[in-house]
Amino acid sequence: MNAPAAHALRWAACLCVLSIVAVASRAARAQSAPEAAAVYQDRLIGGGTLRPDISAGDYLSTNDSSGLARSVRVDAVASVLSQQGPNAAPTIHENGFVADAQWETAGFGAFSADAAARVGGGADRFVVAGDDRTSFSLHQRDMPFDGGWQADNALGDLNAPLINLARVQQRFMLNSGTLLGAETEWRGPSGVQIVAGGGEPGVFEGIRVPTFQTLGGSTATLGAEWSPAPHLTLGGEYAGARDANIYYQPPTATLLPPEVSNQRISSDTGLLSGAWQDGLTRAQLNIIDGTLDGNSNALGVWADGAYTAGHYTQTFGAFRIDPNLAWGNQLIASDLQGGYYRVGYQSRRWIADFGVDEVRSVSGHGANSTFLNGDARYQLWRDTGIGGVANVLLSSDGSHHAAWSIQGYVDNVNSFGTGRAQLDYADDSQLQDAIATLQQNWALPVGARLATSAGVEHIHSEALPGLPQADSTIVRLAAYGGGDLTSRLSLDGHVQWAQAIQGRAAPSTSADVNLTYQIARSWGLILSFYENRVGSWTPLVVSSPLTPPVPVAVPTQGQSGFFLTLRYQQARGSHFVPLGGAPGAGSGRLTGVVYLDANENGRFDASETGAQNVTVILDGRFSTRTDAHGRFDFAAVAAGHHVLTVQTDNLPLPWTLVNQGRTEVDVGTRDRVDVNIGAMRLK
Amino acid sequence: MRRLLLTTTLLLSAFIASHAHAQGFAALVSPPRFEIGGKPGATVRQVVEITNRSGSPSRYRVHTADFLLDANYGVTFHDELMPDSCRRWVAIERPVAELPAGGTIRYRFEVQVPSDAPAGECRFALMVEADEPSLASAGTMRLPIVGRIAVIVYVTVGDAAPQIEVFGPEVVTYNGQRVPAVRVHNAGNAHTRMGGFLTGKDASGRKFDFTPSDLPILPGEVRAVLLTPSTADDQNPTLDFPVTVQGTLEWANQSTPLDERFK
Repeated sequence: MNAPAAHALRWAACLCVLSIVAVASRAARAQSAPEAAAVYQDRLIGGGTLRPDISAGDYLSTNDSSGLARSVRVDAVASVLSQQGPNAAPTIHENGFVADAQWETAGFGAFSADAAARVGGGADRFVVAGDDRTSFSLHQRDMPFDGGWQADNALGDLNAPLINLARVQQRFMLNSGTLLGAETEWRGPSGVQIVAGGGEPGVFEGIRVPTFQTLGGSTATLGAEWSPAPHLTLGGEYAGARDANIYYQPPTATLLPPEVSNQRISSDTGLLSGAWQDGLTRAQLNIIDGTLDGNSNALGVWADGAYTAGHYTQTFGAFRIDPNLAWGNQLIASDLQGGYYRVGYQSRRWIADFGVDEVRSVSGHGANSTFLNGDARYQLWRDTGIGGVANVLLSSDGSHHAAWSIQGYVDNVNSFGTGRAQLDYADDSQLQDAIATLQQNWALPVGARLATSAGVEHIHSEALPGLPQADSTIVRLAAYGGGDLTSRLSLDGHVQWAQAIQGRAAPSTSADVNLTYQIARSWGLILSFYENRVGSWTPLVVSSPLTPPVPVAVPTQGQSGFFLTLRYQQARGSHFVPLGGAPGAGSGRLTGVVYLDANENGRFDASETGAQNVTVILDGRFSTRTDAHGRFDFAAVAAGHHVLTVQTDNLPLPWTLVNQGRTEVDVGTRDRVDVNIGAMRLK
Repeated sequence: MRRLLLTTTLLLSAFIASHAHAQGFAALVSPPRFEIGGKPGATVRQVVEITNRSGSPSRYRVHTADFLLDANYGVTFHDELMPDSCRRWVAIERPVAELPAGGTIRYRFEVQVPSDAPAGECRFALMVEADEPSLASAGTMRLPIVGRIAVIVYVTVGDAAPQIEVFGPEVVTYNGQRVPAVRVHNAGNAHTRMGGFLTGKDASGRKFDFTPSDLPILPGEVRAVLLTPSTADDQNPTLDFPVTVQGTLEWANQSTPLDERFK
């Protein structure tokens, strides 16, 4: 049977479960009721006295279908939060407005805007130099020009641009970092791409009302690439930083000494890259050269290859990167040389891959490491799969160290939904960490969803000089879900809780639970409970030495409290020209979550968290930023095939998305499609 | 013949669906199917969401119907009670739902399983249709049409379960391609869908994965389950017969090994 036949068969199956049929009405009635007297009259619940549970209709149901597609959402946010921490104000407020909008123009491409502003009294969560109280970005995409040229432009809080060759990296990431500034990207015939951008580096902060805190200094980039021949692409890019801060520590935090948290760098770095690709076979050579803080010139060279044949995909490469290299104000893996090889196998029953990284220090001051990684998943039966992961890291920097971890799991589709039982064990010679976890994505009636996770973790740490030996046992519980309580009232939330039942360890809790009431079409009221308390431990993770260096992430003090949000959202023109659609096209809704897929099972589990303030792009034209849950929402999307990509620069390291999280999705007319995009740890 | 019927059905559906939308029948119904369990003497309550996606208020007629699947998986709906119909167990919220533009009703229905109901499966369709026909233009003709959405409900009563008998190999022609198939009989009292992991080789020695078709097999039915071949590089290969297939056929919580040669 060929693909169309299979497709036809599926259609036929669909007709069994959901068929839209229309026939000449009289004939239809006659056919389905050959004898009027035989027509069965249904019984009614309570004699038909049930009060109907009807919503008022949502903002998508606008009668204004004139003009090009446009949509807007505005949130007015008020909050009261209590805060813990050595220098923290006991009560703080995060009040303000958040807005985002997308609109199509006839001759200037598609625009997307995000803005937020803090207002009102009370202290901000953090007070940093500059005390920025706003965030703003305006993106223009696919502005057409004669000769096949298109341009993207952006202004505000954004990520510095990268040429495509710099984005498509198998092992070495060049993160561009966020900045307050401007960028432009031009695409033309023969694969020409020109990018430029610059501004003042900074970071997003905030829970519901994101503001952008600039950190001083400046960065700039300029690059271009083109395809001089079929399958071949060449390019280069410059990135520079002046007096830029690479660490971010709120003044109320004290984990970093001032000489570290105030450390500023200047760098000049150039990248030359060339790639050859034919189908799924690809080879790329990269040369990076630059200086950091006036040190002598440093050089980096790495070559990557990928080859796919049948069920097998192989990736391999070799590298030598001198110490003291940076990309703008972003740290990159440096002072290392070696090679790597990975082979993956995928069939209907098997998903497996194996990899080895061999890394040596160029300067001799760093560690030499060998990292082995293997994971496999086998589908035992239609409803049951088993799998395991093993990591081994052998390193020496004068003395030898070994760290390893193993994981085993069983996935099962049961009558309650989809479950997983998982065991993890990690050992780095000073710390042993064992975790047993049960996860379940529950099958619930329409309008409801629930995923739960329960785990027990036991940590054993060896006695260290000045520190006693210590054991802790921690219980972890998590739930993620929600549903429609009535047609106007819905509950949605994410709760995680961890508590030591033995030993000494600070508890960890996080919660973000939203109760939404639809006041009227376009208007909603959201009451949220928020809590975030970071515990005093993190699970031990054994990862590759090629994992990008993580800037010191300073945990915020714990906060808990309530948000009240009044939301207005409206979409117009969408019935006739939905986003990405043609006149007359139907539209649906495309929502989802960008999340950190810790167990790499491809599902958003209760124990996992969403990625905040990450830009999600629809069809390369329209963008929106994820909220505190990692959720995004394109309200009116043309029915048909769409491509979602994620700008990975705002993902916390070492998390990354393969192929920029490219996800292809079909949206049906009047359909609502949920897409979960999981980021994985770089291995 | 099967191909012709399917093609005709698809064309009709596509034609009708688009016109149903154009003429104002714009409803979203979720979920598309219920597969639930019920005990004798118990009442099973469920909710189906009906959303009016048109720009004006709409009235929807909601009622139950029996349905039949023909040999080619064409579906027919019957307002009259069919033999062994369980629709007398069913109660719905209201016969007509009036929705504002964009409005959603959480429409309730329940199945009251009699205390003396034997183990088995209660099947019916919940029909959502425009209360008034719309006019569709086809050239100079104007046809009154009624848009309908059917939600299929399966209620497994007691310990009802499918029981599959595999009769052996055969080769069927589907869309001009010869494909292996196994004929199966559901001797149980609940429907099921086939699955499993099968591999094999054709006469030229090429290796394939085979995917059983997962269409419903109702109690008492005999159906040909197509085994669709694929490879890592080709989702639409042509087989050179004879073909050997090995692996496991699965349904519900049961399975059986399969090792057959298809000529």
